[in-house]
Amino acid sequence: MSDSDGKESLNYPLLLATIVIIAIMVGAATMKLLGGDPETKVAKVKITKEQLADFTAHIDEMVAGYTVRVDEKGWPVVHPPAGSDVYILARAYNFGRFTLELEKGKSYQLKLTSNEIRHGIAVRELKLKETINLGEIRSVAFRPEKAGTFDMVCSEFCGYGHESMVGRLIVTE
Amino acid sequence: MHRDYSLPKVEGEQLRVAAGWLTVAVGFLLASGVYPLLLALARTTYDMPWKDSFSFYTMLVLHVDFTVLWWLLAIAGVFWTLSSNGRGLVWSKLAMLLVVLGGVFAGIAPLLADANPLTNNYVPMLENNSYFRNGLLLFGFGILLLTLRGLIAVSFRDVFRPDETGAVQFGVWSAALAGLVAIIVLIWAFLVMPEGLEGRAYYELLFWAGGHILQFTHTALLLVCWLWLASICGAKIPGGPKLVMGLFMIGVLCVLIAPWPFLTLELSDPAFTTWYVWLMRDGNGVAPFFIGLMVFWGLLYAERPTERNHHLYMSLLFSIGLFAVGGVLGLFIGESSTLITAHYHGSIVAVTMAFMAMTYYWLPQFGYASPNLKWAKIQVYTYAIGQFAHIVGLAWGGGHGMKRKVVGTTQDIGDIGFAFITPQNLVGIGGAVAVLSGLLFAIVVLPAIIRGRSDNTSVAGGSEV
Repeated sequence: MSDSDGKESLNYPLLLATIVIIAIMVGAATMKLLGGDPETKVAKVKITKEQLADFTAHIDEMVAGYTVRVDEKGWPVVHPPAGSDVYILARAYNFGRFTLELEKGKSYQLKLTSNEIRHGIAVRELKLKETINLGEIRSVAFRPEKAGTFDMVCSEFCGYGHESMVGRLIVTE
Repeated sequence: MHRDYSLPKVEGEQLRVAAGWLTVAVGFLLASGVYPLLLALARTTYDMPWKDSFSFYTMLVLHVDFTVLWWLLAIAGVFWTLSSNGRGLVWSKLAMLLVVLGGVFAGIAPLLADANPLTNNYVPMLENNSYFRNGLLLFGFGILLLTLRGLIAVSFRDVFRPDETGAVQFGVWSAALAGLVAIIVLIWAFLVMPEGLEGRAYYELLFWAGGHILQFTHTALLLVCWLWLASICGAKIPGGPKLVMGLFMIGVLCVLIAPWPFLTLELSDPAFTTWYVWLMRDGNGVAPFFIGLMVFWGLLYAERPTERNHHLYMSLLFSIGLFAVGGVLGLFIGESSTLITAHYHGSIVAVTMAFMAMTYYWLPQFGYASPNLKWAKIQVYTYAIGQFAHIVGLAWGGGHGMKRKVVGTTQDIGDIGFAFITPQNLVGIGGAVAVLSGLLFAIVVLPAIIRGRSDNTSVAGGSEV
């Protein structure tokens, strides 16, 4: 242990450097928080386990009614008409075994809920990012403004399969 | 009188075994850096014999395993040997033999048999390669022996003594406890694994609980390093040893409740995996926050570093800074992106920096020659700057959706950044600087180790420089 003369003096350069670094970190975090999620119209409704079964029935109807073809994975490509409700059930670890196809510039009402714990849905290129809670249907007004094929990923850590929870969204011209 | 947070002095056979663990640790850190080098050589026009055996992902698996398992736990072996009462050293030697043999098997596994690299979390695997699997098993048995000895072969009166040395010994003991519980929950996960799982999903679940609990081992030893290095730098740490022991106790309590989800949830239940994330995030962050603040406060009023301890002083500051950055980034994790990589690198590189500093400090104490202080200082700065740049690049790219565990064009995130720098540039340049300065660490440390020990006067412990 080094000897000391007992006189304590504050290390001002170290203090200054620390304040600067903390300010940069706080600034970056604030920018992330303020500029992060886009503004979307969202409505939330609480549901029970029984109502979750009705939600699943809506998905089955949507897939049965609006499947237009089968993709290379063998999954139905579901193309709901513009203005309709689009039902998505997040579960460990997928958004449903179908590919969603929407039209660019057309409005849809996304109906989102979870089968077990909290999930999220994010399509970065289309500025879509929503949390999906258990026991709640979240209605989100959504209008894709870019055509292409995009990954829908889970934006809330949901377990060991979180990274593989990727759905596909096609937006046509 | 400064508060002296350090382990008591040891000598003789106990010191020889500790020096053995230090050599093993440095050897495997060097080995972890060899794989990126092999990859680079395999990309030249020369026909390298290992070209087909080592893909990018195989390199990544071995690099990660040698870094976060072999290097970090061999340094834990140094701590557990120094902190012990000197009895049962034969078990520590047997553990060392198993760890080295396991490392050799794992390291050459891709040359001996085909491997399917899996980039699962915590312990990335080479699937269907029996040499790798057996190497990992040997390593696991070695660590089991090491942690058991670290828990039992101690003077419990010293471990629970409420003074500075006792606080450090309690921290080291709590790390051994976390290591043992990590192995127990790993075996438990193996026994209750649901049928039908295979590949990456199987290994994610197998290592999930144990991997999370192992982070408590790394964190406890990181905090011991912070306290010890601060004492070496002459810092007076406020709060007192009882507070420090109380903070270590939070980690102990978290580790003791770790088996709870095995009793209440199915292994495949998403709630099982998120429970461990919660335990690590909320339970493993409190002690570093407060001990980091206490150490930093001590450093604010400590004397300026001297030529002899400048590299240790800066390692301590960089380690605290990296851990803080890693912790803050962890709060923003959402979708799977390189933000997670940035968070993990900040946290684990903080541990590595602290362990490197302890290696510099221990070398002369263990009877080796002193490292070249000028080059040690250069190494500390370049490693920290490289890692900070690497982490900022990963976090920046991750904020724009850059994917984890991919290379080349698959990390494309569009036109992000400035004309002179992009996130990918920062990741690449920072990573290259960090790897090169990691090799510089070996260049500074290896000559001292290769020249061997002088056993006559060596005594390790305390905080003199």
